[in-house]
Amino acid sequence: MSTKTETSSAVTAYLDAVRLYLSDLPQWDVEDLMADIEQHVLEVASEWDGPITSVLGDPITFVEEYRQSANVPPVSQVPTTPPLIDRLVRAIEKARRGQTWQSMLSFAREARPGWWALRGYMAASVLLLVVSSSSRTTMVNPFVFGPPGLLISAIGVVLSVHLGRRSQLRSWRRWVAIASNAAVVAGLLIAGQQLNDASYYQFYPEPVAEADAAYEAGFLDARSMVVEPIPEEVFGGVARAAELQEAIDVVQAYLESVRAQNIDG
Amino acid sequence: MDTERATNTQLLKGVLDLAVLTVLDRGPTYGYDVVRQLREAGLEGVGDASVYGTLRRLFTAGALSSRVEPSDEGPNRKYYELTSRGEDLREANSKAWATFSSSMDGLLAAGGRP
Repeated sequence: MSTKTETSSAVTAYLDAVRLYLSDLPQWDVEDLMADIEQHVLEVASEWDGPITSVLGDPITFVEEYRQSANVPPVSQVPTTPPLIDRLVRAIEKARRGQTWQSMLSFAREARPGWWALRGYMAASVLLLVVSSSSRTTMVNPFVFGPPGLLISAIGVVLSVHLGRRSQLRSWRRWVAIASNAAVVAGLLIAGQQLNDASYYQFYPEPVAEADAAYEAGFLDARSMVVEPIPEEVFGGVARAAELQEAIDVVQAYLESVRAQNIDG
Repeated sequence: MDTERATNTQLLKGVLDLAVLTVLDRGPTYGYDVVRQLREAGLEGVGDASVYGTLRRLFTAGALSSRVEPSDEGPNRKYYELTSRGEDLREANSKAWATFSSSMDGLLAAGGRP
């Protein structure tokens, strides 16, 4: 004998499942039917000690039987994925068959050796950066390490291209290649970020710090000026500036007239 | 036994409309009670969901009307009732069934071999 809580949760689960398999129908239709079925399932649950499914069958079987006798298309003909995802998947499928995708794909295929070389170079750069624990711009320029840096970069490029060429042969190598690509890109992003943070103060430690402090102070000043009322002397200054502008205008007008006279004469 | 049950279910499909219309001809009632009355009449093979599907189809066809009534025992109950179109349909189906069953009886009485 099942407890009341178990029964009600089983009823709720059953009704939820039924509702799901009806979800393609119009809302009013679903509500109308659910009003019938809710009452029915509750009556069955109250009269029957065993699981509801032993009387009514699985929710999907129940709904299929209902749909068949109600002349509604079966569940199997209805997309079970949410409409938005379904549309998205179909759009991607369509795009994949399209001209643009195909040309992008063939471009990517032809550009692969270039990527292999770049990958090796970047992997070597990451390695150099980690080994030297330097924050210099090794990513862009491994030359700062001299011949060893160049040698490691060259080895990286050769190794990566070699791996790339061989990875076309077997599927498991493809996964190794994909994983290493992802690792290199991730390493690059992390290293790049650290490099950016570190090099900022590395090369211009004091002036930058001072400039930052000054900027901060100036910014706070400017903000306080905006919030506080504008002092009288600033207004005076503005008035004087306006007078000065007037004087300049008069002089400019005079010069213009002189120039005009010269041209005419 | 399973074969007999399956055959019953197959036969029922053709006459479920008439069976449901006949139960409702006795008076308005709700879905679960229709299922119960059909079972009591010996129609064991009728599926609960099929009855609701049939009610839905007959309702959409205008043969039934429905109204919701509060129940003492739980949620509201949706009562179905025959409309005049439903009564006509029941009449027509009933005649068709009478003709069909007497033809069937005749065929069976004559036996399967000459």
